[in-house]
Amino acid sequence: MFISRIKLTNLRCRHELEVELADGLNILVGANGAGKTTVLEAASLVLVGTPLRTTNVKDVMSRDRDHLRVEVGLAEPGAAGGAEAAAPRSAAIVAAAAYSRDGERRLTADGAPLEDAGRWKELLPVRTFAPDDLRLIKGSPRRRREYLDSLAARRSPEYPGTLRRYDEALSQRNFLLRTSRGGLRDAEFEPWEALLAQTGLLVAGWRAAALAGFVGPFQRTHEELTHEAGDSLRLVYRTNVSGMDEATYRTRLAESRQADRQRTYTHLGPHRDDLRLMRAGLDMRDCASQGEQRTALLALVLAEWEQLLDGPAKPLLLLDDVMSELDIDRRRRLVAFTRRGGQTLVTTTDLRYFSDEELERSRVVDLGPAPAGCGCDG
Amino acid sequence: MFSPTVQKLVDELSKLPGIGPKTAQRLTFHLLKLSPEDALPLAHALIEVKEVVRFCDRCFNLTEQDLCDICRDLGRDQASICVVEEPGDIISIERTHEYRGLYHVLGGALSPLDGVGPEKLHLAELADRVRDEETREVIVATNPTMAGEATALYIVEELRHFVNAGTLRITRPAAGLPMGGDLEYADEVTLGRALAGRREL
Ligand SMILES: [Zn+2]
Repeated sequence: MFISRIKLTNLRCRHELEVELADGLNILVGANGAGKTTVLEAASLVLVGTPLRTTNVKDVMSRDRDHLRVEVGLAEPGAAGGAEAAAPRSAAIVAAAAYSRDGERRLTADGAPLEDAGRWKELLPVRTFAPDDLRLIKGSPRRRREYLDSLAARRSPEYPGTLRRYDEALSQRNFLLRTSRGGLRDAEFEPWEALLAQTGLLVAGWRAAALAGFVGPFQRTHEELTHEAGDSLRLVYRTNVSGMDEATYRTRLAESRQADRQRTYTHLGPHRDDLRLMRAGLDMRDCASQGEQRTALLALVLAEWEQLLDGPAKPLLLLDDVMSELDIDRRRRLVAFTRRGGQTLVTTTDLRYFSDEELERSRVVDLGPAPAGCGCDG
Repeated sequence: MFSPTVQKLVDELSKLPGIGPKTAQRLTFHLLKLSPEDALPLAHALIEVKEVVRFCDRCFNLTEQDLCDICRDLGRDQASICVVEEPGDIISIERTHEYRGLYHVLGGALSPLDGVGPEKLHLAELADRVRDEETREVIVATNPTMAGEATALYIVEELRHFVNAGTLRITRPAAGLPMGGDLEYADEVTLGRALAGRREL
């Protein structure tokens, strides 16, 4: 699947915008504020269910409006033609999302309501890189755990179910911690702790295995992109249950009931996991420049995207304003990456970042100048 | 606003599980349209069921007497107890014809989040029965959900001294039931196979 058309209403500075897109590489060009990023934003809102950089939809709604709406036409790639082929006029499926300022969300597929964006994640998985979004490296561990989850879920189909079971046992134990006044009754804690140990070790094991299988592709991608040796880069899985067996895990949980009750939550277990991006033994969060962090993040996104290319559904790659960040060699290599398959949307202020040959083989969407009175950056 | 009498029916109906205020209204309007002879049997059935039906003194199955049909049937294996969450589970298991012992209905499963602790379930009564009835096998057929699993583990701990004394074995229906599923919805063949292939806990 690829996006053949995006129509949006009241998103950032654009009250109305409609663009036609092709399979392969699409270059969205325009002045600052013309709506380039807005197009990526629209794709993310529908297919992922969240905005690009924030978790709050109100941040991307046009300031003077009380609702926004996005419609995305999805089509199957044609048998012949490739990127140069004209985008089909009729979409196979229309995916839409509408949000109101008071927090209501409506996702639909051909008009039929959807509960979440899960269907699109299977049909057209999205991977996004925005250079000013370093949350995966610098932000809270929760994002990195979600990243681990997406790696593990692709490797082990039982992973999401086990993680849900783990989370349920965890909520039950946390609730017991908060509500049991006076004595903590062993008999009430023990069943949940046994289930936590059982599912927690599975979750940690699958995460570790998924990451072990991903370090190689990540290093290779980084090397291909930068032509610098990537073997000093490591992705390190941090978990406080490492090396434990079920019996030890249970004992440790039992021993920590008093301390956990004071904290009001369980501190042992994979819900506290983290992922570290290390270079030459040092955490990149502390010792790498912004530019190096961005490159590493781009390699992470591309490596995951490449793995998706081998899967049943070709992924969509969203690259926001990445070209100005890269030197000319890395730009060429990045464009070459996008030729490996799937659809890519890249935004730029300047077409000179692309060679004539690259422009020839891409769909260029010119969004022109910014609408009057716009204070947005995209 | 509805008249107080109508509102009362709406309120009562919306207390039922799975029935929201909108459905309660729809049901109320439906009942209002019925003739008395079509509507009143429901009211009578409700009164009768509350007057006549009660929980079995021994196993907490539904019955119209002190003891349920199963507990009164001396042809059943008196040394075996199958523990289930709800009376409906007994019907599912009986349908498989794989089990000929007694039952014990807990009345739910452990879930602190839902306010269900051990004291809300018939767990103490189970331990008493195992002691008094000299039970040889307890089959823990709680649902394969997290709450059901936790309840099974709790029961194992509660009855551990009987197992250690060598007088009791505790088993659980074999895997094969869908995780997070409900015994009530498992088909007979799957459930029968799971019972036949139960494993020691
Ligand atoms: Zn009975």
